[in-house]
Amino acid sequence: MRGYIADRLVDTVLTCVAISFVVFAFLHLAGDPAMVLLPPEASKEAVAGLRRSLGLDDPFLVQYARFLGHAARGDFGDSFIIRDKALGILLERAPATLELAVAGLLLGVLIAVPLGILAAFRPRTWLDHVASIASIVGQAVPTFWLGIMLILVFAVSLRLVPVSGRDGWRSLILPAVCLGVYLAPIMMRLVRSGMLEVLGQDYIRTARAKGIAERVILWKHAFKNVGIPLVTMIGLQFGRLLAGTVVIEVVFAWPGIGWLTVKAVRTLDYPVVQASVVVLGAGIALVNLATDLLIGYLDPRIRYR
Amino acid sequence: MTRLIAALFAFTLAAGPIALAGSAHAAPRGQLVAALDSDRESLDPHQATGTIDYMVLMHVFDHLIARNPESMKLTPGLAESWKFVDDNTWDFRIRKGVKFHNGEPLTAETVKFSIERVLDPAQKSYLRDRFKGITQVQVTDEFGIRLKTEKPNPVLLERLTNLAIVPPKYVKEKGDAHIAKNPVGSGPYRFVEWARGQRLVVEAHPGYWGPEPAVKTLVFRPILDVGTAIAEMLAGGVDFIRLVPPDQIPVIEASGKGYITSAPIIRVIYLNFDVVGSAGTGPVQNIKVRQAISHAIDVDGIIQHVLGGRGLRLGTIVNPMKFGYDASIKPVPYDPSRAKQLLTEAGYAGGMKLDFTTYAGSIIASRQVGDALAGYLGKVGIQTNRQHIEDIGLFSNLEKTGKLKDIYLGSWGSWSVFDADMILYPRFHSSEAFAYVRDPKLDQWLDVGRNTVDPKRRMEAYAQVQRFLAENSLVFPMYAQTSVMAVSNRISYKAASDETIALWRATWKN
Amino acid sequence: MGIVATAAVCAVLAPSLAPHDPYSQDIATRLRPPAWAPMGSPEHLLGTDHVGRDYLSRILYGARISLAVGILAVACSGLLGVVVGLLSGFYGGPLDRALTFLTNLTLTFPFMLLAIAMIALMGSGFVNMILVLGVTGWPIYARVVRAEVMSLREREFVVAGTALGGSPARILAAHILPNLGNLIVVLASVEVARMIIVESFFSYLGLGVPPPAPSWGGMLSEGQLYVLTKWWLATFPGLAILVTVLGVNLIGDALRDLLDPALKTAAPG
Repeated sequence: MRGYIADRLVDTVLTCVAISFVVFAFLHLAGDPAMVLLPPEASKEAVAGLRRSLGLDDPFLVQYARFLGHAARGDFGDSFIIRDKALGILLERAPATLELAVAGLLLGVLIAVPLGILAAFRPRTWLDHVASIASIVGQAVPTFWLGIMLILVFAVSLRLVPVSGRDGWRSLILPAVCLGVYLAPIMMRLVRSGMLEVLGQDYIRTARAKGIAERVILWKHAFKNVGIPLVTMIGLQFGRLLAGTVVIEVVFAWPGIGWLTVKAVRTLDYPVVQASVVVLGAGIALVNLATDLLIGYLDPRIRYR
Repeated sequence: MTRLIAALFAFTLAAGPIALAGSAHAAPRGQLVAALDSDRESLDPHQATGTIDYMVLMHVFDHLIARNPESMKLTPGLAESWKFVDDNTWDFRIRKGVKFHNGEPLTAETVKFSIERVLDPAQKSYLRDRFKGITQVQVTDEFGIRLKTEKPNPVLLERLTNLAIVPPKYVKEKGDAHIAKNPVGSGPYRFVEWARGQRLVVEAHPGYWGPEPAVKTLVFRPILDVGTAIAEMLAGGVDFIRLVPPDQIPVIEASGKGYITSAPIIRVIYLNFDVVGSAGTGPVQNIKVRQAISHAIDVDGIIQHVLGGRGLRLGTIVNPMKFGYDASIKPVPYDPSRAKQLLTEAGYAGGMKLDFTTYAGSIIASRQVGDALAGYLGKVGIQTNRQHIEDIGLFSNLEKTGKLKDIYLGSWGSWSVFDADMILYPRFHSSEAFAYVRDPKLDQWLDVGRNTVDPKRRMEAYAQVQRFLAENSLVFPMYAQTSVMAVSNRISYKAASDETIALWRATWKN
Repeated sequence: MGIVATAAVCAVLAPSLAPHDPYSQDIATRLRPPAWAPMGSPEHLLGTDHVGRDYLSRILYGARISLAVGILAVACSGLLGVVVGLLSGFYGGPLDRALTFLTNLTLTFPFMLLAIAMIALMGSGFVNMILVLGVTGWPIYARVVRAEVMSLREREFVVAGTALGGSPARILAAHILPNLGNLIVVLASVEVARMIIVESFFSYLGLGVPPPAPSWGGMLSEGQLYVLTKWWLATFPGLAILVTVLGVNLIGDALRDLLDPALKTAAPG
């Protein structure tokens, strides 16, 4: 087990470094920050001076090494647009996104796992059909539309929760539901098909034939085997959460890092983009590390390969 | 399913208010929540770049000159009176007894500091260009200040409505980074809290020198999706929305929660051509193509149908309310067959594809107007490669770095300056960041307009500029915007023609 | 099956089915409700949009764009992901480590950012949209396939096949691929739907298949603002997406039942 963990740790660190390299190279291709920072009428000397002071004339790898050195100490420089520490701008918003992501993921799992299991245990019954229709509808409804609908029904008409903003746990409900609904269908289908497959296998059928109670079958055998793809999927979904959160942040005026980063990418606000990608990347890498370890625990064959 | 939800919603809308009259989420009395369509980037009034920043910071900071909300005439602000000494010299008497929110007294020295801060190249203030004609700031006595300009500067008074006065001691002690997050001014409201992306809170300053505002606490919230902002107003969470798409007016009016206030404003909406090719060569560098585009678009139709009649058709980019407007320039008539003919002459009989950028924010119903424009262009064989940007800050960054290729739907609010200089110079003088047009003749006329005292000569210069623009189709002016603001029934507020949001003038109903 | 076939027919035959040019606007008749509603006209069966384009025609043409985005993006990402997953899971060792690293890297790079950065660099457009979705979508197949291959590799029939001297290619083709069919089909059917939806996210953020091209996602995002007054604007593209997703899922289910390895291996005993 220790070797396995070490392997994964090395991978995680390498991933973070690789991400920082990719984002750095990408932005290097995307445009010249001197042009962003200075008005177009700026003299050639001013541009040259700025390039010198930013070290933009150094070879690419030298620039990257310098960036990596600063980044390792948490210094991504000042935002070109907001004129404040890039990492600070990002970190002050990170809790909002993290809160939304965790709540959405939890809700997604809470919806998906029971529904998937029930559907698999009673295949081709009304319950199964309801579950699969729900998952299809869940997939087909874009979050920005669902968001405004939830707002109109639960916040405007019923007055149960606030419309938007981040102000106490009640304001988290609608965005989290939106995210949960976005994430649940794929997890539910995976759980259902995984369970069906496992339930069809010989040892389960043997167990059933032996008359072991269904609950024991479920927990001891079947669920353990569904766990691997599910945990894999949750790890995957975490990286994907962002696709959903950006939109949800806009609809619910949720002050997270999604929109901030989208804006930074498009305005070539390098320090913020770099800080954001590296921080988010590191976060996702850690979640993936955790899921890998969990999979290793669930399925010893993987770690002893 | 969607129908089902719609039906459910219709039901809850009917049943909800009866069952749950009196919401727990309505904003408390005494506090007004205003929804803004973008987030602020800096609260330093000399650093903030957009019109909305200016509008918001006007609540915290004072300016030497203010404006009457009805007549749009200049009125005393921190300057009680002013005198035109000679062509290059202005004297101002500063209001006595004014204190900043931190207690720091406001004197002529303070004003000098603020002006010099804007002029300091190291500050990289966006206001610098508007004031760089000032060569000397002289303190004549404790409350007297004299400004000397390099050349005659007829727009100076108008422009001074943009220059916020900041407290020198505070700025020097705390530094620029601090003031960008913790502004201290002398205006009707003092800064309380700013949670970026979330809310900006200000409260009425008890020692304010002017009339005390009726609304004691103001909360500005960035809400990018206008649908969400409208929902907030229906739920009682927001009292003010700056830009309401005309199609949504019935929603506000039918809700019983708010009303619409409208005024013709000095913002003009136009189609910009990348004439000099600052973002790359393209067909619009050909005058025939620009003329064709101008003939292809039925602006009157857009005003009537998309904007519900709210808007004033223009032949020139200068708003009629401004000094320098040339009424003799008539709009280009809608004539699609002429447009096609021009395209054929230009060698584009087989059609062409243009990059076309639109953005949300400041332009009412920008997406709908943009779609309609693209549709009209499509009818004469011009395909568009469309980009719609949902954030004004993002758009203006692309705009001012010259990255918008071919054509874009532009708008210019002039920062409430009622003078042709404040649109023609920044847009068409070759030294300016926003210029997608460069011509020595334009530069010359614009310099005359900027640096001549005689109003007649100025009028002439601006008439020449506007004629030149029209003759060469350097820009396609479309219409002057009419503001559409939604205000909750709790408050009284009237839209003003300078496009500002001046919520210190809002009062509570009953 | 019928549903997707219908959608596909719409897509292919849109030019002859559509009553109007989907790009032709008439702003004097904008925002007309469907024919059966008060104020509706038989001229526009599903009403008109915010610049007076015929909504039915746009939905029909939208089938082309949305289906093409969904299917092509899944084809790109699926092919890439399955190949990577197979190689990685089957061969293991350094190849696996390298490929897994690549997979994790792509996964870890925040998807939306990667996509937005790519679009910011390349410009938004139909082909770019598919490329972006394809390039960012493959790791999910790679990871799931790899995990499955690794556990299949230990199963009796594969171990037996290897022991009997089967070539790796034969074992992959004969034993592993058929057993993956189920998983891939389930995943792909979900992914087609997801791609259509993700395109709508991009449209909402102003980065999707650019207007005036009618994509269902784009139309839905334009209609979102009008939910309270012009219900048909969001409803019809929403229904089109819903029905298509339903169809894709039903096909997925049918194929899965056809390919189900549990049934197949169980039957001969």
